[in-house]
Amino acid sequence: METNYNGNPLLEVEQLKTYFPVYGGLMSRLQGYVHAVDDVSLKVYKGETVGLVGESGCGKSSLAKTIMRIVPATSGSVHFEGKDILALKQSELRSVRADLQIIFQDPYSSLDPRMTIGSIVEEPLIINKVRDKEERKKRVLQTFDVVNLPKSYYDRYPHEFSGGQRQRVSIARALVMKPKLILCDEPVSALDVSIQSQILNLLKNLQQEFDLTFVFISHALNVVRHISDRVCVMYLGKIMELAPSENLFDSAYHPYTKALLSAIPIPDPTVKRERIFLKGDIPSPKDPPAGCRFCGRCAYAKEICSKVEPPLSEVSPGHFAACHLF
Amino acid sequence: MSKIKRILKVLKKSTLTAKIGLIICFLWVLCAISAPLLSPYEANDGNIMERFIPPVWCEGGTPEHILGTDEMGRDVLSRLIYGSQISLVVGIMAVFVSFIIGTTLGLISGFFGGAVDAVIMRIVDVMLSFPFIFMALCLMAVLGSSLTNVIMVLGVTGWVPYARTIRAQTLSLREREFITAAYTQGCSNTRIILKHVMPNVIDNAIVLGTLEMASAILAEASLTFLGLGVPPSIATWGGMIATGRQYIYNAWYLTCLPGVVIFLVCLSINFVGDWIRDIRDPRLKGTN
Repeated sequence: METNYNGNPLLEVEQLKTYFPVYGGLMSRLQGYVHAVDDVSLKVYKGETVGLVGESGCGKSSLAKTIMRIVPATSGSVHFEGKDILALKQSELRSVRADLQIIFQDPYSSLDPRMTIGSIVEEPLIINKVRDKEERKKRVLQTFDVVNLPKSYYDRYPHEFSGGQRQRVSIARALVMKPKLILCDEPVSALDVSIQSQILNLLKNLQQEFDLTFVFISHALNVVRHISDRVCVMYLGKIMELAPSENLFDSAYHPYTKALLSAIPIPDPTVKRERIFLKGDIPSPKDPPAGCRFCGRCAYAKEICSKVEPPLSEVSPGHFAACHLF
Repeated sequence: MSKIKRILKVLKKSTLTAKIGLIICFLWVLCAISAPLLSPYEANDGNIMERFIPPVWCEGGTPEHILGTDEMGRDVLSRLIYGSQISLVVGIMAVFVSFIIGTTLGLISGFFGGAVDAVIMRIVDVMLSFPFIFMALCLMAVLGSSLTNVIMVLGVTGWVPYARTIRAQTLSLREREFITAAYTQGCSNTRIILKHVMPNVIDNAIVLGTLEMASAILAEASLTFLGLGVPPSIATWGGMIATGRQYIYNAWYLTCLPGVVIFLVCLSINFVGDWIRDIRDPRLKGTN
């Protein structure tokens, strides 16, 4: 289905900040904050897949966890279907959760080892007060069917299955309430490559079938390219570039995105291309640099870059970049 | 019917130690329940003319008193059988009380953390810094000696190990993703604790419970030995050891026989505890 980018967004993140306090020293005094998510604004429209990429520690998982209210936000707002999620009480939040689900990275730790596959997938139904037992079982088995799990798995335990099958169970659990938006927090990075493509294709099919919206977090650019309509590049808690998938992979603006893209391996030894190597390490998110976060490692840095923080501005239609060069 | 079959199947597959443990525990419970039927004499019926008769396999033993008689001429076998009632009740009830208190506090402490955790852990520290026997003596002195009081005192003083193990386990479990997943599904805290945390930590408490059941039986014996436990009119294994101690040089069996019984029962309970943990773990299902 065609995504309407002019209507109301399904999920709207505005100036979201998530800071984690750091305690240290003999008296456990507050020493500062890790700026995990720092002033992020993002709109996600119905039916699309937004990829969220960045290296480890750039805040992509923290962003997802803040949206899901797993970790508290420092400031900002998250509107889902017009409701401010961060302001809801726990009891009100519960009704929103049926529409807003998350799939975790590690399928070995995200399933309760003491529960059967059937009861894991059934649980959201119980919480959302589907009282009839037969009805619940019917819906669980339907969902099994959708994610290609055999019905005979119903009474078996997670430890009997491989990573790919477990991830299918996770997807089934997220899907059983027929949500509108699913946050996928690196759902394939713990799986091996052949299984990765199975799971990605499954997610794509599900999106078609159930009209789902995905926020897809990954550090693997080829995976993000495969699945996303729009891609958002994060660095040190900030969005560096946001563009439709083809635009970003073919004509990226931001020097950081260019460096990331040049690191994708091309499975053809005859192709020569210029690799951009970044100098230095990623700065500490506890003490982010003034001005542009990337300026210390940027080959094109000008004087202004280390003083003024570049805003995320629309460079060409639909293509946003936070860089003084444009 | 199929349920009985399933139980039999599980039993058949269990280890030798588990079988031994289950058999001894079964005999123990059987003795306790049918004591009046099984025992040849009344527990407190003594014949002063028949003091210190040794067991039947020793020189001077008679088949009338298979395990001999004590300093009051009471039949040792009958007293052991009647004593099993007390140890059973004390063991089960005291463990039950401390299991409930300790598990609940441990789960709350580990799951919520923060101020609640700090308060509960300080109470634990206070409990640990009191010598058990001192605290038990004080409580027994205030409450007076009776069976219920022994159970209450052992229950109230014995919950600390449960609270500590359960708390430690809960702390590590709380960080696992399936707990976060349950939260994002919309589970209430109560549901997360009861449905996801407890089933994953309770096994340690069960094994601990069997160990503690053995020590509750021993603690009852110590309290009775000190004269503050069960009143002397009731036959108990601990009480038998306590009085038998004075005659240990000329009637060794008065202390040894109850000692052996306590040892066997405690060992069997531990075997059964391990067995319960194994059959509850889905990861060990179908393996040997």
